[in-house]
Amino acid sequence: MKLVVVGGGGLRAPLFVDQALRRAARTGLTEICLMDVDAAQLELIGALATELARRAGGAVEISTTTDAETAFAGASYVVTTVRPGGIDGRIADERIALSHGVLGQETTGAAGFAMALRSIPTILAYAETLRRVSPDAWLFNFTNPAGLVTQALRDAGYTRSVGICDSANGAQSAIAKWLRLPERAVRAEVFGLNHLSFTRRAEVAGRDVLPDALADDHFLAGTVQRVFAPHVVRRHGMWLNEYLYYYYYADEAVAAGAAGPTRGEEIRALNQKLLPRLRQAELLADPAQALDIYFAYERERSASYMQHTHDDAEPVAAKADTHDGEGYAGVALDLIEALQGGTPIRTGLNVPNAGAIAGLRDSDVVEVSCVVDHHGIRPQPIGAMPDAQAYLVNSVKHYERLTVEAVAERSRALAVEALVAHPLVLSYSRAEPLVDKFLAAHAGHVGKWS
Amino acid sequence: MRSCDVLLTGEYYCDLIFADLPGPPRLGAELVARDLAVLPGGTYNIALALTRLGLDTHWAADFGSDLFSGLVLEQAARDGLSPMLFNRLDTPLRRVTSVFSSGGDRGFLTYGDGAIVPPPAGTLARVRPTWLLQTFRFEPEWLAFMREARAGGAKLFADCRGGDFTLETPGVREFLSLLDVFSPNEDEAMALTGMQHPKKAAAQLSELVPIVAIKRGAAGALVADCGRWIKVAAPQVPVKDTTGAGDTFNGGFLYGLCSGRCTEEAAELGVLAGSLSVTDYGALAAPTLSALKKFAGEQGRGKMFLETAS
Repeated sequence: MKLVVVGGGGLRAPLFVDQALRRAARTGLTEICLMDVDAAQLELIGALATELARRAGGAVEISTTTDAETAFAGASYVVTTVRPGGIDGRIADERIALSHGVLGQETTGAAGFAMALRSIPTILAYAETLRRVSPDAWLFNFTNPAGLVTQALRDAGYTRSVGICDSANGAQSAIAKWLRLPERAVRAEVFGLNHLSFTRRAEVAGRDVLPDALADDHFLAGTVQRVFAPHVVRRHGMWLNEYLYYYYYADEAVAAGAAGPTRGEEIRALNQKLLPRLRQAELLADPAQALDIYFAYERERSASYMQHTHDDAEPVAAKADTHDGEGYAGVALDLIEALQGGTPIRTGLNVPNAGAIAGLRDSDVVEVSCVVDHHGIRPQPIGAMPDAQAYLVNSVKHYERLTVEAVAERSRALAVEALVAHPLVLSYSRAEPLVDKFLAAHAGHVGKWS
Repeated sequence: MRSCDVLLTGEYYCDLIFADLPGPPRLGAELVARDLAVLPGGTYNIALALTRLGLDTHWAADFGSDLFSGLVLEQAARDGLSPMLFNRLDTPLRRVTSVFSSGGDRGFLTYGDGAIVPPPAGTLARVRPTWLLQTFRFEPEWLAFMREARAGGAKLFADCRGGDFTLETPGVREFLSLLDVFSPNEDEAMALTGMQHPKKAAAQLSELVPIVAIKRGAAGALVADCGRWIKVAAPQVPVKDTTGAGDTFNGGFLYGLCSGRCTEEAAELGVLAGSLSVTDYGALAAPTLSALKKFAGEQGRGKMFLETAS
């Protein structure tokens, strides 16, 4: 079985490869192909991945290519984790948004919209190549904004595509860790949208343990729930996706973003420390040492994740250190295993609603608990959302529909309507200059708009 | 004391190409060709490919007092090859290949004077090459020359050639183990290893050489680099003549390595250069650096190369 990572030259790819190698036997994995347009990054990450594969016993082959058709030939599963425009594009998004007094965040609000302008056409082009070369392959989209990109894929008729984000299963992971249980022992009920989801139940052996968890101060303080005041989480009575911070603490988030370096600038600084060290010729000759340097970097990166949300916060535990089945690659590999006919799983994914959440359209891509087995992926019935969550989900979904339509038609007017629909932008006097600046800043990626 | 990018070893040939014959040559018949081309051959094509890409290249070769040596030397002067290591003997040194082509197939008649020996003592010290592009010769004196080059800090690159040898032939394994890069085409790789599949051949060769680049024509290239498999697709181009494509691939690949690029990118440049070369006869289409840039841009390939090539 061949697994392709599009964006395989990215700095998180070794984590993915590491996870995939541990599951190689269970998934029948024989080849991991890293595909990227950046040849120099491919060599670097390819060498690290090859060292990981060697340590894992050498049963899985690592290949690299800059050509999508070559990558997709014979592929069963394709994971897309690209960042069109790179880290500089991300920083431009953050800074343009902040200059208009709105949130400058990679996936949420105006900057997320700017990223979608670039991500959607890029991923649709890959999907088209995949449909031509390996029509039966599954496309797992990790590319942000994952919900929007997956909506565009489904609207364009790519039925074997699904959006994956590890934060969808945040509650399940946290409760499993809290009770020292395997993740599969926790049955969560997730609903909402990508980076805008809620977990309303978390059952262990048929009993809902979520209320106990939310009542426990230590539980809240030891997880990403710490970005919210405990009384806020308890008022909702649900696990809140950490990205809801940007809505529920909107003014604080904008002020924090304007104060220091943006997240993109932080990561660029980390990368600028790491890359020259990895690139030194002798490190390519010594991949073992390069891997040590890489994992030290990854811990630093994870430690600073969402740190800017609270000045005094303890770093969130590094995701790289979590046990098998968690984090960046865990969901994708669980999914592969289940689709191949292994143990069926229940997990939060971004798929068309198909009636699961009442009040949203069947074609709306939502983040929802799904059951996955060799028949495919089926969203589980949720029913009606409570008003407090429903109003926010509906208005952001309205923004998402308009955004996908605006990108499909390359229409500036629709883009403005989309941003006005977004609760964190809301006004024409902000939306119009934002759209114009984003289109100008990313002219090389977005093509001609009118 | 100077240091150059590439020192090239290998003999010259003069190719007489009789094109479009009405049938294969046979005893007792005269066949009239529709076209004739007289072109330098042998190691000349790779010398030209490297020189055109702007690499500081010196080819150590013997020439004689004969007509064919003279023709090739004249063309070398026109093509701007460095004559610094050309050794002109006062005896004939005729190396000629007659190529006859008919109905899309080719045959050869070859004659060569003299033994093919390593460059004179002191050559390595004189040019101190970053890379030695070594002809596929594994006699003891050549292996000694290669060891001397390695000891002097040069990296070694070799292509394969057709011939009646395998990994079990004395000298071949040692020859390969002295290399940093080996770039056979897929038929050569399979013949050398006795394997039926290019990938299996590459896997076996990569136990001896850190980087093995298998040239696969229209299928691009498959490169094994210390356990990692690099796959490069070839752009689709109209094919006129595949002579010299392998040499031009080597040129692009070496240019990439000499300019400090990674293996992925060097392989990409090799494939782009090789693809360009099949669009014209012989080495006529071996690209200059600017032609390679233009082609990469048209094909939407070699992103880093386009951003960083001076």
